[in-house]
Amino acid sequence: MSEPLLDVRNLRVEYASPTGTVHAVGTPEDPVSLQVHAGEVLGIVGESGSGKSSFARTVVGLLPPVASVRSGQVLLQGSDLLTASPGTWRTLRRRDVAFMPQACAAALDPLRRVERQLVDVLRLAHPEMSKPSARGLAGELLEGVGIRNVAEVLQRFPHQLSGGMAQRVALCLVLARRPKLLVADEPTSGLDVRVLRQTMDLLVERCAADRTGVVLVTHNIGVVAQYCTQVAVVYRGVVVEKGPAAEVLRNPTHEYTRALLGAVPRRGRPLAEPYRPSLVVS
Amino acid sequence: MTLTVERPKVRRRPPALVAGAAGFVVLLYLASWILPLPYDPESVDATAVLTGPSPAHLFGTDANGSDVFSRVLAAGRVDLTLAVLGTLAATTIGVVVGLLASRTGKLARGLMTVLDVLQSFPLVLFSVIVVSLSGNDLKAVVAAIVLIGSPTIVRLVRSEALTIRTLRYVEVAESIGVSPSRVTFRHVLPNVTGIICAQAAIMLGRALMIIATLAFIGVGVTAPTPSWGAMIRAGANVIATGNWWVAAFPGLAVVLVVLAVNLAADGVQEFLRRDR
Repeated sequence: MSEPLLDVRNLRVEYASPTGTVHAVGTPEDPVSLQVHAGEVLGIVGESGSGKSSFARTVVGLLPPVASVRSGQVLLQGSDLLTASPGTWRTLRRRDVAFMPQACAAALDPLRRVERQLVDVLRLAHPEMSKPSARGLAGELLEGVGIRNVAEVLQRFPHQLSGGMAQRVALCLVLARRPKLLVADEPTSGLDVRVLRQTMDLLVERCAADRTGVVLVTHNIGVVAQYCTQVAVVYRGVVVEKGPAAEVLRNPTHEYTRALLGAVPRRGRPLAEPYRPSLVVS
Repeated sequence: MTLTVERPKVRRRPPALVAGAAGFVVLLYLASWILPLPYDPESVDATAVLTGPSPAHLFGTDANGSDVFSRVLAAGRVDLTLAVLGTLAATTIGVVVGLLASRTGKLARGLMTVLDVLQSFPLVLFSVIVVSLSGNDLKAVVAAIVLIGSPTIVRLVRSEALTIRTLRYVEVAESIGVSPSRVTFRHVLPNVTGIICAQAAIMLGRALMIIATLAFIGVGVTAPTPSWGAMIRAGANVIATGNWWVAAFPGLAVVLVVLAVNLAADGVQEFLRRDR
């Protein structure tokens, strides 16, 4: 296969705390290495506190100040992001790297009209673009996510949008500049199943069309099964299993993956025993 | 059977009172400029020294024989103008510093340290020194208001901005490569304007008090230019001999105007709270 779009090598991120350091991503024995190719969707699953979000935030450079990267490289098309200057980061973020937070409807600034926000994003990515053409493109983008009364929606403030609509507008905002890499940190949590499906369908369809590589952090095994091509299972900051999503979900080899899959409630099947690691990694 | 649910009643200040309070201050201010004063506020009349309130002199006359009514109005021009200028300056500086201090990094930490040091000075005393050293320059009075008033605004704006910064849309703005100063002034500032407006209104009341306090001590606005604080001081000298009107009327003016401004400030705050 060709060179990966995102190549994370031997990454270790720690949090300093008064009682000692916390290994958020990777351990000294077991640092994290993951690759994402263009057009691939890599799902990262694991329980709360397993380091999924920290991993996502490291990739987009939005770690909180208490976190520190101990070792490793995050290569985007061969260049290391961890050593990038703030200026380089800004340029990267304007065009190539997108981040989608949890409940991304809240990504909209409450005091700015939808049109203005979309135009801003487009013009940050393409400074040469004129305002009228950015406006036109903003309208097309909204149409592309299935919004019918585009002209009216463009003039609305975020609080005037329904939840589902705000979600779609925010999705537009994040994907407007056709990034090469999208890092989504639990984009589906807190959504009802219809909006969830709408959001994920659009996200995956858009990213497939633009050959965007996606890192999708989620709790939701169903989402992984439905939308991801690759999956990495994370437990206590360590990748315990990775591989093509269909394969891993069908034939999990690690006992934690089995426990995680067994914890998904399904009618007519008893839940698996809770996971108790035989060997504590710490 | 019908079930009625009582909406919990929120006690609100009657809007008429708030509007009336704001209107009172504005009217008084305009009146002080437009109304022909019955007497020249700075003229001295040896034949009418310390006469009580009468149809000729509504508020009586002071120890120089000047008309207290004319002087109260004339003082309003000076005091209110200074208060508005001081409030604008203190708010502008407070907002900019507060926003900068809400960022991370050396500049922000430095600003907060300077603020901590500044606030450990007795600021009123400090501004008395500053104003008198400047030779009672009125610009120094504005500076005094900034000195005393802006730290509160800095802290308030900073804490509010810090809250806004934790919200998703600020994080997302950063994640799409918006520069830090643009995030601060385009995305954080507009979302703290509500609290700034309310605080500016409160600041106006405080500014009036500061001006009156300084003038009472004898710095800032000085004779012969009339000002409420200085008039109260002059009246205090003769109040023991029964000439209450000299101090009472300018005192009443300060109380009423500050009360009216504070009522209006409460109104602004309540209006913004209802919006949320």
